[in-house]
Amino acid sequence: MQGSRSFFPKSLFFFIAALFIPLAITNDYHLRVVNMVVLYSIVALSINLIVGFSGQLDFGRSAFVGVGAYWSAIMMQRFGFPFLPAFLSAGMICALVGAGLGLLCRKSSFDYLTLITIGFNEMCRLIFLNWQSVTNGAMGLRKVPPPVIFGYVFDTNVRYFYFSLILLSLCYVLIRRITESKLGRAFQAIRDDPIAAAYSGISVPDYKVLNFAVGSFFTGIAGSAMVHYTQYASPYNYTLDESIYILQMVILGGLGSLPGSILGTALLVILPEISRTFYEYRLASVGLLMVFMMMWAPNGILGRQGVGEKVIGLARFLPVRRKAPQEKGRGVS
Amino acid sequence: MSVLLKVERLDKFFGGVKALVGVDIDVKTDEILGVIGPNGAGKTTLFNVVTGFEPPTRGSVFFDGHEITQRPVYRVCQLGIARTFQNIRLFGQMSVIDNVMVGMHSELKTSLLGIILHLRSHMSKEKGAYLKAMKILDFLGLHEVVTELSSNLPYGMQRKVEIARALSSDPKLLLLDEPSAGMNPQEALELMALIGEIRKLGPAVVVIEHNMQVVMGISDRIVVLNFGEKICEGTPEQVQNTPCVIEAYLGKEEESDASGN
Repeated sequence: MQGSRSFFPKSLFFFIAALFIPLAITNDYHLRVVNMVVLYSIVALSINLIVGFSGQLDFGRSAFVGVGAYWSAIMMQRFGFPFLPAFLSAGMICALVGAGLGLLCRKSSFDYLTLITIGFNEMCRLIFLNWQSVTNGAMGLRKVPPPVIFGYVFDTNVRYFYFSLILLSLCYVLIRRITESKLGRAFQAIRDDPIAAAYSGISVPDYKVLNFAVGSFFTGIAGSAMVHYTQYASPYNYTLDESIYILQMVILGGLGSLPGSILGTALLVILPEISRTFYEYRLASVGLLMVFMMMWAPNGILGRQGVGEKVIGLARFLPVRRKAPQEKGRGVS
Repeated sequence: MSVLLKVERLDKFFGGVKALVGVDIDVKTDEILGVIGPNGAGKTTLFNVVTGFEPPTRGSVFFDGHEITQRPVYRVCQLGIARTFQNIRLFGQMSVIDNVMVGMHSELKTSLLGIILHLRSHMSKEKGAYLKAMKILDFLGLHEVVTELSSNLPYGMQRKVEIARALSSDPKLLLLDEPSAGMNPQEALELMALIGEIRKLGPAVVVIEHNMQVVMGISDRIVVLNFGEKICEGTPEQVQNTPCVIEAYLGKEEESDASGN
């Protein structure tokens, strides 16, 4: 609550700076990478809400990206829905599916919940792959139409950049508001100590379901925004590997830190694009990075007591040490 | 004084282990009730069963006119029971003030819409909760550490944060499970004074305590448990002079003679 006042100008600054990105980056391919960073950031934020704030290790997030993507693609392509209803209903459907999955996990402890989400991810992948008549099977859905809002078509990289940037900002603000409210405190309480949370009057199972539903809503709209950008939905995009990769973005940035999720996403989306060699080994190298992170900086870059705070702490520490002898000298003389 | 909490013929068995056997306890409004007994006497189990954390094998619990025997923990707590734990249970990755504000969870009634739109009703409630939490932290002398992560605090302060969280929900009944565990005599004395102050705020207090000085000093009445049974009940003076209590703590006289020889 106190945080929002001091934090807002900073995030507003980043938002305004981001508005100028298309001026600086004119290369279409580069802008495409930036767009993927923005879109994946929304997914990362939603994962942070579930894994970072509520402590439910969910390995099946890309399934929700897929559900949102297929839903809104099919709504627009087959049933001729306009973009906005298709887009928002994708979020709603994912929230419902998330609540359903949450209901299944209501009473299960941490490890079993993780196994259930892995199973759910596989299940969704197989449905996307095999429900030929609806999802077009392994061929995927091609030529998904771009978003049209009040007659304005978001069909170029620059236009889509602004669309996804505004979407990301909205999601960021909403998720921040949720995490700073009673709701966010309840989620964090469940993460830190479910028993003490229950003794504070929180219905732990119900809040787990709510957390899944809210988080999945954001994952769903991100999935929808992605599919209208790439204009192609393939069952091979929504695998367990992908889930783990997105999860690593959040962990790298710092669980429980919203700016961290965006930073982690930027790193893990841009790095593989810089060198193709890295791309080929991306799962291996990111896996290795994770091992080292877990050993030396389990809180990620911007998490509480993470790498960032350590670096800042070190920087603060240096001048203080230089100053101290001076003052001492003055005192003596 | 009316009866706030009524525990009737409560049994709790863990397989063959009888943790509580036919325990009857009444807690009146505005009183401090001490619960003592040797280790394994069933004191913490009593708290767990009363708050619905563990279902009783037999018997019933009434609180403030409601039967709460089968209710889940969070509903019991919403009725106005708060507790602290023998081994501290704080939300380690949250700041002290957030820990206390979690305690106000059920009295903050805001909708999801209010939260995401920052409606004025939501903001004012949030502000009110923040100010109230600050007041409680001031009362407990924790105003200097409000933004600190609770897991970074020293032990004694963590205990106080736990008490602050319990108090933040304005409970009618406060259950303290060995609040002076791990404290030195000086800190224990401060704690005694603190519990005296808390009583002035209104809640009835049930306190499990091993430190005899503390429990004899603050309690209006004391209940003694041994092997799950209530063996004695009365004022501190009465309890101290009851043979069966001395026996439970120190053993029978013949036995000590026998071991002496």
